[in-house]
Amino acid sequence: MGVNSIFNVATTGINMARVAIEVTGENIANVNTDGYSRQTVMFKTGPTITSNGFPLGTGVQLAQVRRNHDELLQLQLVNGNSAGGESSVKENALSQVEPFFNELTTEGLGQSLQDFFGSWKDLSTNAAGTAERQVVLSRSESLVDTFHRLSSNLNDSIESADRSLDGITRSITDFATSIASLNEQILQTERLGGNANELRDQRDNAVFQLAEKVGVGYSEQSDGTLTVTLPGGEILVEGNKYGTLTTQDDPATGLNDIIFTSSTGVVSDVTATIGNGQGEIGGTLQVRDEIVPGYLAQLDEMAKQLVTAVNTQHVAGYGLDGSTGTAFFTGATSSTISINSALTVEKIAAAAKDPTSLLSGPGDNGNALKLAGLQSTSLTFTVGATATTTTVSSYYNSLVSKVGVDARNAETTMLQNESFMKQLNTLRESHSGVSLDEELTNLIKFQKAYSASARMITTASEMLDTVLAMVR
Amino acid sequence: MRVTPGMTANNAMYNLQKGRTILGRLQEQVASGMVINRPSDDPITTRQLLELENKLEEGEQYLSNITKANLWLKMTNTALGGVADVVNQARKLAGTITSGSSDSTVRENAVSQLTELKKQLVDMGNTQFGDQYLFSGSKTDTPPFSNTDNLYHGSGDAIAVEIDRSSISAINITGDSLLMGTGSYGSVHVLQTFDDLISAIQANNPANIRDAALKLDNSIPQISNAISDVSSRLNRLENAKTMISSDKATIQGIISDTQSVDMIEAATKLTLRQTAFEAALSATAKISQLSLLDYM
Repeated sequence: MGVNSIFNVATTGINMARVAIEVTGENIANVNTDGYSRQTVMFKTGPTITSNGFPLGTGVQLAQVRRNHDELLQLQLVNGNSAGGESSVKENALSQVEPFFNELTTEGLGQSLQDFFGSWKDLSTNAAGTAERQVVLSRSESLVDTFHRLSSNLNDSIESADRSLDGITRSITDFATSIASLNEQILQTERLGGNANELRDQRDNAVFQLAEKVGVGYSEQSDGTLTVTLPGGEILVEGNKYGTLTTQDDPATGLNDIIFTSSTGVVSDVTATIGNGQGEIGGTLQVRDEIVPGYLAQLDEMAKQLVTAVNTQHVAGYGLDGSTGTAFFTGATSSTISINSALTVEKIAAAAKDPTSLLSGPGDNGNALKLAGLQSTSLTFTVGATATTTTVSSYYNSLVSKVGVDARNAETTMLQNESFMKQLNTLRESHSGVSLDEELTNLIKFQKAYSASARMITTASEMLDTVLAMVR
Repeated sequence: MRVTPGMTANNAMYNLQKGRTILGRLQEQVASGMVINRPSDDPITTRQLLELENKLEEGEQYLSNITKANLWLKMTNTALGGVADVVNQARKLAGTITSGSSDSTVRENAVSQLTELKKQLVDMGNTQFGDQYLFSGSKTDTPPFSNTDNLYHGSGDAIAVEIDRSSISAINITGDSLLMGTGSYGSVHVLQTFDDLISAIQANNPANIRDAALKLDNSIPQISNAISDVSSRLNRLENAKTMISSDKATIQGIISDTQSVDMIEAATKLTLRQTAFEAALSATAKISQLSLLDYM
């Protein structure tokens, strides 16, 4: 054991302090990088040698650069993000649908219905009045227009949900591609004994973002690669191979089907299962296939029952010109309802008896009264297996209330998810996040260590000088 | 627990966002004056509010119906007053010559007055409201009476108006029950009686004059029956109007109780939240300035 070994020990110290400062630098540089896990340098002592019968160390060695990472927390974050993706898509869609039904601040279908029946009541006080008849026609037109507007608004919502599936499937495929290539890089790096901390961070982050789109399952294999599965069990990523998701127009519904092509080229329709695991795709499919079509079905049923009830009564009455059997509306859904083109001001059937006959006259308002009375008549509305018996206005009000409940639930769920994700993120930050104060402290610590090791070399050099001077 | 600047930033962002959301809500309430601005604010109350508003609007409609019915019935009342006057005058005139008169000028004078009165009576019976004949049932475009015959040209239909939910009131009196005695008011054919009286006076037949005068006597209660029928209908309309108006006031009270913002409360809340939000802002700004770097 000589002076030379002091040089060796001091050199390991300098080297390791430099590595530690490099890692600290990496941490500081990535303080704001999404998904970055803080890294810690772990040292170990070098092998000991025996000198003069005593064991002496040979300096410091790098044990590992550890990535501060919690696998369980990561799993919770991934699952939470799936639920969050679903709820935020739903909240977004419903907050766009809700204004169509906001009868509180705008005049929508509810007001049009009131106006429609009100015009019949007005007509009943002056059955022969041309002005009153004209008002019945124009109120009916505005009622029909409101039905059409609502129906096309709802259809627009369905279509916009359908179109967004295109982008979602594309980004799922993008994430699958990058996870597969990260798998490959991690495999290569770690096979060579390298450190793949940053690559793993990137992969975790990719899975996290993928989960927002679709609720995936994942598991790490013994070789360090990650296998990702879709909710229906299809393998999206395995090793460096990945499947692709695309949309395909379904001619039967006019909407998109979700098509999965596996890495081996097997094509399957996963529309029915892909939404099970939540995610944006799950939320979007619910909006497209259940929520908005549900409202549309109720609206259609409402239009249908209104058309039937008004027509049945109108056909029984007589117009000013003695015509009878004239239908008031045509069509049977919210998009097809319209005023019978044969209907004129004269043909509006306000009279219960023929006004051109000897026994009756144009002042007969019997049928107008009955038509006005339909406002308070209970009709039976059947959507699917649910039958409701109530007045038209009341049925519409309950639809408004239902939209409100749905929008509120979606908002509450989204807020809950947000606060849940915030807590998880806080935990993750606490565990994996970079603390500048900590890194700066480390920086001072390692800088001092570096200086001290350097001083060791100076000292050893002086020692050597002393020895050499002895010889001179 | 380690606390990192990322955590602090996330927390601050989340809380500031929340603060802003609450401020936005309160601000909206104060600005709109409404507690519930969209169905999702309170779906159940929304439904109640909509039902109440429907009821309110229905009430408005009934009030407008009542106003129209009122006009019609008041016109009818005026016409009936005129009819009563005419019949009374005829009755007086008949009283002056119950036993006939040998003076042909007196008779001719009476006849011409009666003929004039009958014309007036027919005119009264043909009273119009706008372009509608009041007394011709549903044949509102046909004059119910004419000077050439004593027939009724209208129909016997009642014109009914809805004055409250499932409460219907007729607004017309048909001419036949008024002047021809076919209804419940009485059984005197007033028009025919006038003609009978005129021809009796022309023939100077005291028995027939007395007979006709007696019929005229009987026609007076017939007309007052009609007048009191109209009055009772007007009464009913008035009652319905009062009831609907008081309902309206109650409903408006409920709506404003549930929907109107208590401005004092809302303004206080807004101020409180604003202060809290400002505090949060300043705390955020201060905390994020702290760093070990400043001391190195």
